[in-house]
Amino acid sequence: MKDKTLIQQFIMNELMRGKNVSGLEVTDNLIETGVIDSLGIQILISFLERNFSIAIADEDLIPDNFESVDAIWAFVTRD
Amino acid sequence: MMDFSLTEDQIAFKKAAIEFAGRELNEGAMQRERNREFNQAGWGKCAQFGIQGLTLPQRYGGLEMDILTSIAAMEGMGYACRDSGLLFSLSSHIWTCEMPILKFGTDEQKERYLAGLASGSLIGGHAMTEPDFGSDAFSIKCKAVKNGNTYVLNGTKTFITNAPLADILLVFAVTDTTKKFAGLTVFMVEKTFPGFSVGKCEELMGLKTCPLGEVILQDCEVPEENRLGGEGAGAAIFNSEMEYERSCLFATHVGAMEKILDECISYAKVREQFGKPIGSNQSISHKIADMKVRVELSRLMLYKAAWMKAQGKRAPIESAIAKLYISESYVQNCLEAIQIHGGYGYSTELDFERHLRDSVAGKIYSGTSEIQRNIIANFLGL
Repeated sequence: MKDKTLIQQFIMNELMRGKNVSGLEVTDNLIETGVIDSLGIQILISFLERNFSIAIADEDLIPDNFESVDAIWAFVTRD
Repeated sequence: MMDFSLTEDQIAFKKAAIEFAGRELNEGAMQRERNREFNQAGWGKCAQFGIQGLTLPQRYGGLEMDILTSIAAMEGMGYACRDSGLLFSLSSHIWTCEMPILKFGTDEQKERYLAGLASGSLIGGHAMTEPDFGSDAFSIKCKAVKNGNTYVLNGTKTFITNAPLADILLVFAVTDTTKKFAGLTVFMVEKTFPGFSVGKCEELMGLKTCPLGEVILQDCEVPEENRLGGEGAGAAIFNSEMEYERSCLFATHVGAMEKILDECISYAKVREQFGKPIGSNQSISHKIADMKVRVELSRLMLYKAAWMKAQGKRAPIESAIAKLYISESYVQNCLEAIQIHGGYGYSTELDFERHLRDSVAGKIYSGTSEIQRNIIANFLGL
């Protein structure tokens, strides 16, 4: 079953490697802490589209949708 | 199923572009290059043919061509046109100004700008690069501060294609410093806005006929209705724009490579040394075979990336591969063409040295080769 831990694990394994950030809470701000950068967001989008069978429009690539694991989860599960 | 074979109509349109460019854009090209002179008349002719409106809806005066047809036409332009500066100017206008407005603009913004851009009466471009931030694009310092219904922009942009002639530039600026790359916003800045000016024009190794220069924004007042997308949408717009640019702008390079290949084949058949055509020597024929391989693989990557965009898919890794491979192949094929033609190839009488100077820029703009490799490596989890 896909839940927000899938997103959390992906970010920890793929986007936090090599960055001086320890641990990740679902409410942590991913943008202000630099966990998601300009390239990381593209990699994250590819992951989300592939794993949640969704198509993410460019217009939806706004900070509010990606600033935390909670925000990403809300975005990918919205109606 | 992946299918990007060209239809008969697309092939016919590409041929029409080749005939048009060969007939209308080459007269005086060498002299204009020496004088670093933009082909203003050629710009108008391209607009009449429909180049500036290739991808735009008919309601704005465009031809409403799909992406594959558009790149086929631009490949044809690259094959026949000897003015890479004009082609670069056109490509920037299409992929970094028209497409973002078409994709992210409001109906009112599209009504206001797209007809003029399609007709060529307006010249457009985008302004991201700054003196201290090239490859590190998202660290730009140009600031936009909201003041009532206006944004006030301050900063300097450099190496801005079309800047000296542009009527409208999509300027990237920081609206929220706490959000890093997500704090960028795009503004459609007209040259008449108070506080907008063009600084020094860069003198480059190649692309000499392309107007390119510095943009200075000093308390530049931009109405809120000229914001493209929402606050913080800059990164999304930039990434979308770069995918189109990396997928489509390099169509002209593939066309140019094809032309160079044809000329090398012809020359290798008629040029005789030691009593036989030089093409009968494997040292030459293998060079030409390798050139052919690079042309074909470049075209495949170009069309694959463009096909994905036409399907509405993201193509970050495909567009990075296409951009990287095509730009580096163009440089390599120019060097081989010069070597095959010997002293004549090195002379300015033939066009290969001009191609070489123009080709080097392709490894730098739209993200350097090193940045493309970074993108590819990152997508591989490295």
